[in-house]
Amino acid sequence: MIITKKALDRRTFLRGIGASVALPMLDAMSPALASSTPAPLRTAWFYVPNGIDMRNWVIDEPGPLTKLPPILQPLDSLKSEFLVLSNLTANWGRPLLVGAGDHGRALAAYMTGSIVHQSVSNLKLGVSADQIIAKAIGPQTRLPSLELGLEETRQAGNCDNGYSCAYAYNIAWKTATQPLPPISDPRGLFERLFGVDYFATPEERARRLAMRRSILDSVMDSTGKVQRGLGPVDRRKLDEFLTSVREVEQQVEKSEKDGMVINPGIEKPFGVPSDFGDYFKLMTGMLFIAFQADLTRVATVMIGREGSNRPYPEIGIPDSHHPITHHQKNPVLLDKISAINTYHVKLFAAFLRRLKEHKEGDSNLLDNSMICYGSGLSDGDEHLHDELPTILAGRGGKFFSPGRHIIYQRETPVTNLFATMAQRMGVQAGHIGDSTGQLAELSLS
Amino acid sequence: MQFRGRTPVVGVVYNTTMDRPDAALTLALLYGLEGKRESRVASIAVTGNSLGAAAFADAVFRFYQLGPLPNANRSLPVGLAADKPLPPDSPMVKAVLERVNEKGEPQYRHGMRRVSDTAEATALMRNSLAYIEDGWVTVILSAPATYLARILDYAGTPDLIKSKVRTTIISDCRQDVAAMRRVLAEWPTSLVFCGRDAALPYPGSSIEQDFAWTNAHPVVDFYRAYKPMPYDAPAQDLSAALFAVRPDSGFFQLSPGLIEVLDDGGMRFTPSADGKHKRLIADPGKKDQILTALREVVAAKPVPPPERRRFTPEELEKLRRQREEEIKKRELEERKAATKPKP
Repeated sequence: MIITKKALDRRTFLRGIGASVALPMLDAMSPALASSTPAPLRTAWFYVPNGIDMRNWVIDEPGPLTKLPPILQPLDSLKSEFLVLSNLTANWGRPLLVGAGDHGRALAAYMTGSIVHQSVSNLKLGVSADQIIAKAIGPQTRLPSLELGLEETRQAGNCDNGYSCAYAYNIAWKTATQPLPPISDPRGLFERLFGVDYFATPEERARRLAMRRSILDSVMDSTGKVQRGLGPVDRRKLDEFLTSVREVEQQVEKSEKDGMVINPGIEKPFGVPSDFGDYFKLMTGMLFIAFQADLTRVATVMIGREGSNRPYPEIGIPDSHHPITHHQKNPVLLDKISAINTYHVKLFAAFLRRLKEHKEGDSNLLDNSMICYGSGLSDGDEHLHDELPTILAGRGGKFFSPGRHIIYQRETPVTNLFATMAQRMGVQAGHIGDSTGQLAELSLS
Repeated sequence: MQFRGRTPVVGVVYNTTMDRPDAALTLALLYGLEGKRESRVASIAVTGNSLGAAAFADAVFRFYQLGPLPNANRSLPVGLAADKPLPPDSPMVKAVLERVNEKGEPQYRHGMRRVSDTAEATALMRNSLAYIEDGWVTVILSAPATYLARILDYAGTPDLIKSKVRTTIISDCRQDVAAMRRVLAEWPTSLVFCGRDAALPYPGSSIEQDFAWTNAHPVVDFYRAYKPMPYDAPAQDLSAALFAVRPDSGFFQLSPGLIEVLDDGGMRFTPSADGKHKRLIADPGKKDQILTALREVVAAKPVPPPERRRFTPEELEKLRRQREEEIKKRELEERKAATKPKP
């Protein structure tokens, strides 16, 4: 065997006209005689709107995860990969002295831990946990953070009892007054990742697309040069990576071709797959590539905006999501909510599985991640902002000890979890919004 | 902004060791005053005591709740400082929690099976401030200041305290010296000292006579289990709570001076005309009136919550329009303020 000290730069890009594709972690990037560089940590938040059917989420006892409740069943094969955290609270989402407006506040307060100023035009909030992290470590990657959403976004107008739509549609806040709207357009996300036509409208991109070949064609020369210097294992890895990029690109193209096929009742921007599951898979597939190629280490995924009215015909639920969450304990409505909640978890589980299957040295991408899944509401009927449904998947780089259920004392701020995640990302934030410290017990060591 | 039409009432944050009859009586007083719509219990935090002590406080809360329990949007769980090993349950707590009815079931319901059923004490006290209108909170500290001092460290909380808390009353008890010195130095509101000598003892005869309307009352059981009856219980927290809710009753006087914590954890109040603190003294001339008022509220029966009025569609439409108008008006004011040239 030939041992070389020469290393391929971790920041190697395949460049072509109007495109640049970052490479995933390859063996050639950490040569045998070099000191081993730990894989970077990634963090993401998946937000589900309108609360959860807590009957089918709550686990009664703390300790090792054994039999999962119905909504979490799709995660059964990943039981050793995540923590269920109970009793966390988002105090500033509560009605307090204001009253109605829970959906706007629920999302806005969730990751900022801040008072949500009730206004349609004068936004005032706080910086969200992801952006506190992105500000500190963002310069280390091509994109400081990624904000994804699976619903069209609105930034203006009164969405919830005098609260601006900006509160209900944005989870990431760069400053107290500047939300970062999520990208919901697959082509927009693809081009943001690979550096082409990011500012074009989806329709313009689609027209151009008709004239153009795959981005992999435009980086072909560059690919050939890199491939020549790689060993057989790295060649295979690179080939698999480029194949997954091409698959995503093809899915984006297919969605655009199907763009005119819109299910009645679904607000669907151009180029978005009609099937929600396909949409989820496509967008999180790109997030996977972004993590794999270290394009970013921080992401938020809004599975829906708060107060979402999306129907789920894919699973036989044509009703709008938000109205059925006002279930008033009606078992028929509760069962529908459970079905939606379970569907989301099933899609999330597929994403986690993908992270787990991707090897990184002696661990995998999920091991080197912290993926939080949750909502700023527990019961959507009563609009409760405590006992929030929360999952933390991944080991945060051999730090967390997953496979357990931890029940904290009530009123513990959910931002304590985010402060812990920030610290694990190497960010000494001091506090995140209303956090009162770090969450204990996440690690057993 | 407030819920439309609601008149603000005093919100009480009560941090107690829950180890004396005085503390149990104070819970009865606070829920009695809440029943009269004179005040609201913002939060109860138990420190230096057992899970059973928190369960007792929860049992008292439930005793006074007729009808369904309010959710956490209206009422917060009892807090417990649980970052240190917890002591065993006191005989008073046991007397309440172990009492069974004629069916052999627990006499008093509570929801505190384990520590995670309680609220984290510091987050609870901080969070509860947000439930009460600006300037309408009174904090009663009748426990080591360990946890109250800690909330000063939380981002934005000193400002929150400043805007929400009207008065903080420190009831004389053995102190965490460093924490209390910090509170005395940094707490951003006025401080009132309630010494052991300032309060009237609560008469044991009240326990024998005033609760005849029920054969099971958790506060009565707690009181009786403290020591053989009859006895009069020192009741400084009761005075503090009555003053917190009825500061203009004329029952109490405030005199200036300085609160100090001694190296051994004891507390001292030194009168001084220019002192920055105040001392609470029960007016000796109004002793009978004070005791009558205390007995009347402490022994009050639980009151059903006000019935939620159902609005007619026309009224709802009117309220909706009013709300929209309010929002528009506020928006306009904010825009004006934003465009106004700064001097």
